[in-house]
This record gives sequence, structure tokens and C-alpha cells, in this order.
Amino acid sequence: MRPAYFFLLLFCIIITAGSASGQPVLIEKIDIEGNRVTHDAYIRSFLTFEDGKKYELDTLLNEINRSKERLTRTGLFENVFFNDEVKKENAVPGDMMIIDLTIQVKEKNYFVFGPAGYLGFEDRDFYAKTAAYAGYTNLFGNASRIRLSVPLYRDTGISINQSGPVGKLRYQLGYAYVNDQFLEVKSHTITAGLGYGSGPGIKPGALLELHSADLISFCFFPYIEAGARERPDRRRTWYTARISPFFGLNSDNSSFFGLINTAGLYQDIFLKIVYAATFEASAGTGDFPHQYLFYSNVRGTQFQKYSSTYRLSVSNEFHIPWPTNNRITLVPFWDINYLARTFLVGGGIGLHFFTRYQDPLVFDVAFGKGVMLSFNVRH
Amino acid sequence: MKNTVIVALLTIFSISISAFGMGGREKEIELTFWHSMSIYQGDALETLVDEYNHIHPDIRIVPTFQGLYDEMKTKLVNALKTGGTPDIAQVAIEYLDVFVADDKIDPITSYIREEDKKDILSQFWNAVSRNREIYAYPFNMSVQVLYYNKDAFKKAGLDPDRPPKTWNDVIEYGKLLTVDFDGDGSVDQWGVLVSLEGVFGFTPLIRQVGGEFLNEKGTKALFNSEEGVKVMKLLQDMAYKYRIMPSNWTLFEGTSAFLNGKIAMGPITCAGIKFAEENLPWELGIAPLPYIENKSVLLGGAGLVVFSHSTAHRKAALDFITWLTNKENSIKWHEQTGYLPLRKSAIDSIELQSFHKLNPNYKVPIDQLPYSRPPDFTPLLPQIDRIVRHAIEDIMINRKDPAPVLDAAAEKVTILLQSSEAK
Repeated sequence: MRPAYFFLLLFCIIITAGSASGQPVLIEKIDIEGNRVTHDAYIRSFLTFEDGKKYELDTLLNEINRSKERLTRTGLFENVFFNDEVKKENAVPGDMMIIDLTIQVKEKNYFVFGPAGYLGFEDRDFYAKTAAYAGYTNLFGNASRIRLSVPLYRDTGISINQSGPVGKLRYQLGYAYVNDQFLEVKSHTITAGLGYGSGPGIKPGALLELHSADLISFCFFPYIEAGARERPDRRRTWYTARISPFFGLNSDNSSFFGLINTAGLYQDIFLKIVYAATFEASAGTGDFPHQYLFYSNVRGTQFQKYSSTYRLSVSNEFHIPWPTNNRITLVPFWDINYLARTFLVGGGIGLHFFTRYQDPLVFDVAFGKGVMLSFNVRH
Repeated sequence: MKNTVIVALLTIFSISISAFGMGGREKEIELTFWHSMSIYQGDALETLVDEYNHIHPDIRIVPTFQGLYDEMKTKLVNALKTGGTPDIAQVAIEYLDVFVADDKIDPITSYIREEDKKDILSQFWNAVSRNREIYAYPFNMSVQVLYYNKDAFKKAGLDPDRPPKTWNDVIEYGKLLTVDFDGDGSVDQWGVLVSLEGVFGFTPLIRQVGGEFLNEKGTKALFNSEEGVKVMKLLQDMAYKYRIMPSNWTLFEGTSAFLNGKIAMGPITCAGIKFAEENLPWELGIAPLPYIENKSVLLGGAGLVVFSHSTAHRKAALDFITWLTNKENSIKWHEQTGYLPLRKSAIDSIELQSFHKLNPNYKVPIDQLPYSRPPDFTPLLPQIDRIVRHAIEDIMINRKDPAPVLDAAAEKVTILLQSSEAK
């Protein structure tokens, strides 16, 4: 073969191969289907491509994957599906293909409710604390949330919290009134916060709290978060981390400050068994009102009995899906705390029930300094 | 005080528990659907059925898992004798002949829409057609692909993105991948396992060297040909000459060993890709099934058969099946299981192309479709499979000379086929 023919042939091969991935596509129309609650405009705000524009096929496929990931991350949908209808095929390579795209979403159930609290026996004494919880996770059709919690036993009061849409900026507003029978304190708390960013990247934000009990306290919590608790697609290991310094002023001119550090590590071990570990190292100094002390979080030991201005804690869980029922997960766990110069250790077994209205409903039986049955709805 | 707690808890628990079961209103037509999909495949199927029931207020599909294909066939045969067949059943393509031969099911050719005939790939229609009539709707179709452990490749100094293309490559790679890590004289990681499960493992390899399993009329066994012997010698060499493959492991043992990282490569159905990707503790690579001389893979899977004779039930059953295998559901089924997408429109769709960009392992079986073929169909396939399994065990475990063992097995199969023909 003459060199000229060879290069001509090579050129043709390169052009043909290039045109396969660089095939032009025009999106004539984008429709949205299946969204009974979520607003069209809110869904469109997550798309990284537009109708009426031309794309190379390869670029469009990347943009569709990006948009799908952004939409999935809102937590609003069980399924996001990009259905295309070809309006004009490309007759020869390099011809423009014209398509209509329909984004078919399957919305989750947004109303969540259930119990929260615990029953326990420790030091020859029964103790209990229960509340009812309800939440709606797609208020205004834009992933805004509202949560309401009402103590049913031991304490009285109400807690209401509303947070703004999942997007670049997210706000949070809350009010709680609690008449705590164990600590014998009545308190009002007003919370306002602003966060930036969503998904597994770096997310800075800040919370302001006005707390009124024996004293009026004002506390400021700037924070930086990274990672996400939900498993990113196909990753075997993922994490969460949050660092939050805090500074508080009390109405008697005293003050307190400190640092809260938390991290979560998640490891997909085998056959959907996930190991989850949560670490915390927090400490502060100054005149802490009771609200801001660090209480024990070891399951199996009465939480409010142990408090301190510092806490080191580790929680370990194995999430084991029930082989014959994908709505049930078995969760053996053990927790360790070091606070108030005391080591607390507890462990037990949990059952997580995934239902239409609880995602999931958690029951834990734990043994620590006593025995405890705790129940709550993850939210 | 205690009463307050009890009352509060009971209220909350009863509300919560009520969330587990929400009663539905009565529907006009209720169809029983026997299927063979377990674990995650069963979950994916039941999710689709729930969606159908939700959007079709007058029809209710009741899915029931009836065991894997063999068990399903036995239950259907018994149900045909005693009554109580389901409206719809998932029947493995190789067992369709059991029901067609005795006229237990009617063709559905005339009920299938032209656009569906054109859009669903011809290989799949061929797999569910007998004597130019369609007896089932193709549903979960699969081919074998080569699963390989990318981590083991890296440890052996092999490029994990360059899997073996031919069986000779497999032998060369296998020599590097068969390792006695602790030096105790026993192999800790085998290079490969080819689990020759009877007809289904043997057929594609015979075709890869230009042979056939049965003659065209299905009256004579051809697997004892020179090609059949060549395939068995290759496998014997892998086990005994090159020592890269265990000789006596069952499919179950092999699969468990593969999951535990004790086997580096092996041909497995593409229907396991989703499960493997989500559960293996090491990085999974998927490659086309290696070839000897020609590329050939076996097309397997099952179709949906309508057993109901009532006109209303048949109409509703076909409506459900058409919906279940439409473009969107064909894509979802592929993404959620690894089974092949049925339709050209699904394979060409933007959704699937973007999915394959993120999940290239799922695309490999689709690329093998042009050289896929179902097994040679005969109602006697279960009996033939048993004869072939015994022969393969004799060759691989007892290390017998392949030619006489295959000759003896072929003679038995031919007698079986011809005695059935005579009836």
C-alpha cells in the first residue's frame, strides 16, 4: 500500500471512530414526569444540560450522569430515569440526532412518623422517656423539611424545626420548649442556621442558638462538614466528618467555648454487610449551661446520668441485611464513652425496620450499666 | 405513671405497625404469576409488579416464587396434571419444549404487536420460538461472560484492563494466577474454574471449535465429534497438565471460592453482575467469554408463558407481560440485575448508554449478543443433561480418555432421541 493511501485510510478510521463518540445530539424538549409533589422548576435546577441545545453524545451522557447523581442526592426520589424519544435518527455518522428527553422520577413517601425514646432498668430503678415524632421532607415541593416532636412521658414540651431546600444554600429554623423532669429544668431554645453546599463535598455553615433556662445563653456554632452518610455509588468505603468550634455567652456575663469533632467511617464488607463506626472527641471549658454539657450516648446506660464538659465516644455497628426480607436489617453494636473521668461501655442488638413511613424504625436492646430498650425513627 | 407509658407506647407502636401493611381495594382481575427470581432479582421483579399493580387499578398480579428453573418445571408439570396452573409462569427456554411437545401451551404469535416483534432482538424471539410459532415472551435473558478478579491480576503483575481473549490466553494468565501463597504445597488461589455444568457449559465450547451438540433435526448426538474431544482435552490439560484449575469442583463450590477470592477467573452468567458488583470484596472485571477458534456464547434465560385459558385472563396477562418488557422496564431490569436488555430501543437509549458509561461491566454481555445462540432444543434436554454431566465428571474427575467416554454418552443420547422420535 502506498503511504498516501495508508494515511488516507488512517484518517478515515480516525474520523469514523471520532464521530461515534462525538455524534451531535439536539435535545428538542425536556419533560418531567412522575412528580406529584416536587416542583418541575426544582427538578430542572439540578439538570446540567438544557433543551434547545446541541451536545456531543459523549458530553451529553456525562451530563446525564451528573444530573442524575445531583437529583438522587436530594433524597427525594426512589428512582430517576432519563427516557429518550428519538425524533430524528442520524442517517449517516456525523448527522444530527434530535431527541426529546423525559425525566421520569419516582417520588419517595415524604411523611415520616413514629416513636422516639427509651425504657430502661438501672440501679434497681425503672426509667423511661418517650416522644412522638412526625416529619415531612418535601415541603413546598423543593425538599424543605419540617419536623415536629412532642414528649409523651417524663418530659413535656414541643420541638419544631424547619429547614430550607437542598441546594447551594440551606437554612434552618427551630424552636423547642422542654420541661425536663430528670434535670428539673424548663427551657426554651430558638435555633437559626445557614449552610452552604450539599452532597459529599465540603459544606461550611453556622448555627446560632438562643437558650433560655435558669440563664439566658447565646451560642454560636460555625462548622465544616465533609462526606455523607449515604453510600456513594459503588464505593466500598466512605466517611463523614464534622468540625464545629462553639462559643457561648450567658446572661450573667460568664462564657464557655470548645470544639466538637465527629467522624463516621462506613465500610462495605461483604454481601451488603456494612460496618459503621462513629468517633467523637469533644471538649470545652467555661460556665456550661446544662443544655450544652456532653451527656453519655452509650446505649444500655441512662443517658442523662453522666455528663461532663468533654466526651470521647466510639460507636460500632454492623448492618446485616435479613436474608429473606430486605426490609429488615440486624444491627449488633457496642458503644464506648469516656466522660466525667468514667469509662462507659454498652452493647446489644438492634433491628431496623424499613417501612413506608419509617426509614427505618429502629429498636435497640442494649446492656450497659443496666438494660435499655430504645426506639426511634431515623430522620 | 406506668399506665401512661403503656398507653403511649401502645398508641405509637400500633400506628407504626399499621405502616407495614396497607390494605388495598379489590381488583377485577387477579392473575397468579409464578417466577424463579430469588434474592435481589426477586426484589427487582416484585418492585416492577408493584408498580404495575399501582398503575393498573383493575388488574392485580400476585407474584409467587416457586423455586429455581428445575423446581418450577416440576411444579408446572404437576400442576398441569392436577390442576392449579398459574396464569403466567416464568419458564427456562430449555424447558419450554417440555410443554410445547405435549401441546400444554398455545402459541402467542398472533397476540404480539408488530412493533414489539421488530424492537425485541431476533435472538430472543428465536429462543422462545418452536416450529415458527412463539410460545413465550422473552424476559430474563443472559449469556456467559468471564468474571475476573482485578485485584488478583494486579498482584500477579497482569494488567487488570487487559483480560484474556482466548482460552490459550487463559492458560497463560492462569499460570501466573495460580498461587500457593503460604508455601504449604496446596494451591490457595486457582487461576480459573470452568464449571462444565452439562449441556450448558459444554455446548458453547464445542461451537467455538466448529462443532455442534446435536444434529439439526435433534435426532443424533454430535458432541463426541473431534471437536468435542478437543474441548475436553483442553479442559483436562487446564486441570492436570497446567494445573491452573481444580478438577472436581461443582458450580456451587466454584462460585463460593470465586466470592472468597480463591478463583481468579471463571465463566459465569451475566445475571450475576449486579450481585457481584455490590457484594464482592475485591474489584470485579467482566470480559467477553474467551474463545478457542470462533466466538460463541450460549444464550440462556427464561420466557414468560401464559397458561391461562380464559380470554379475559389471557388478555390481562399479555398486557402485563408487554408492560413488563417495554423499553423502560427492560432498561430497569438490566440495570437492577445484569440480565440483557431485550429491545433495540433500550440498547440504543440515552439512559442505558449513560448507565454503561458509569458501569462498563454491564455492557460486555450486550456486545456478545451477535455471536450468541441458545442450546439445541429438545424436550429430552433434562435427561440428556444428566448423561452429559456423568460423562464430564468421568473425564474431569476420573481423568478418563475423553473420546470413548463421549462416544458412550453420545450413543445413549442418540438412542434416547431416536426412541422418543419413534413414539
